Amino acid sequence: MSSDKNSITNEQEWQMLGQALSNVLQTMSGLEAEIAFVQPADWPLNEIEFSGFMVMTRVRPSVLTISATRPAIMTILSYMTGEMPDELSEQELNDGVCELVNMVAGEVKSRLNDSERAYGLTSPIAAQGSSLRFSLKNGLETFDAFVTVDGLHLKMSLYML
Amino acid sequence: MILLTVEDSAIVRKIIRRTGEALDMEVLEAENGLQGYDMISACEGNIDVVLMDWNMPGMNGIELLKKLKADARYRHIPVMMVTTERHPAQIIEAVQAGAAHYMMKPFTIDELSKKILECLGRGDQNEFRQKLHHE
Repeated sequence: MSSDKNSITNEQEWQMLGQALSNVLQTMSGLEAEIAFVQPADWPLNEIEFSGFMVMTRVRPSVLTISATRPAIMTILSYMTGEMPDELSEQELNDGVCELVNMVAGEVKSRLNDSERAYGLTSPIAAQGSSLRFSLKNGLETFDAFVTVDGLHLKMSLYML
Repeated sequence: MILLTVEDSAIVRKIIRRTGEALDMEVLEAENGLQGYDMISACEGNIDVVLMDWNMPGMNGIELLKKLKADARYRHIPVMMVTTERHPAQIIEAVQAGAAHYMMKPFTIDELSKKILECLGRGDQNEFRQKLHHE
């Protein structure tokens, strides 16, 4: 990592977000995350159901999303709250995925505070559904991470607008 | 002992509730600063500790903290910020406004329990101010 905070690249910021996601999951739930930056062949993209979004506001804004399958978010939140997975409401599942994206974006925000890549954050937004797809204009960079936690699946994406 | 959590995330409220109840505390919940202030008023300030998020719709955490500390009826209540905000300037702002403690998300249940106890005078709260002083 460069010692010049102003020279942080998109890729380096993305690596920070990956580390932050691992840290948030480990700290809040005790679960270890395995992160792949290329989609594994058997990764069940169509089973993604809960998504949380935050806009990182700056000169060139970005959108950070964390999406999860139902079993993944239920398991993670169950570990976080100490409740049985089936005791969590739909509202709590949506709220939980938003809180994950909030903590990940918040952790990296503090590391970039004094750099030219400093950003503000909007409130998180939740979306529920299994066929959510983003389509960006040509030339805009997108980063994807495929996360496996206790055999369950999440996806984190960063869209550089 | 009564703990009030002022937090817009239902999941974080649930984690705080679980932690507070494990410490044998009664836990009250508010979703934003305005609701939190109303609950404190309704309890006539008989709350032992308030844990509050910084960013919430309506009245945010720092506004509620300042409002409580400006009010002689409520300024005795120890307040801990529980937030993703971690810029030193914000931590200093909260401490100067009267926060007894500052907890950054993510956190473990053990860390949360320890800091709640410190807010209640059942831990080494000086450790927090000493750390801040050194930083």
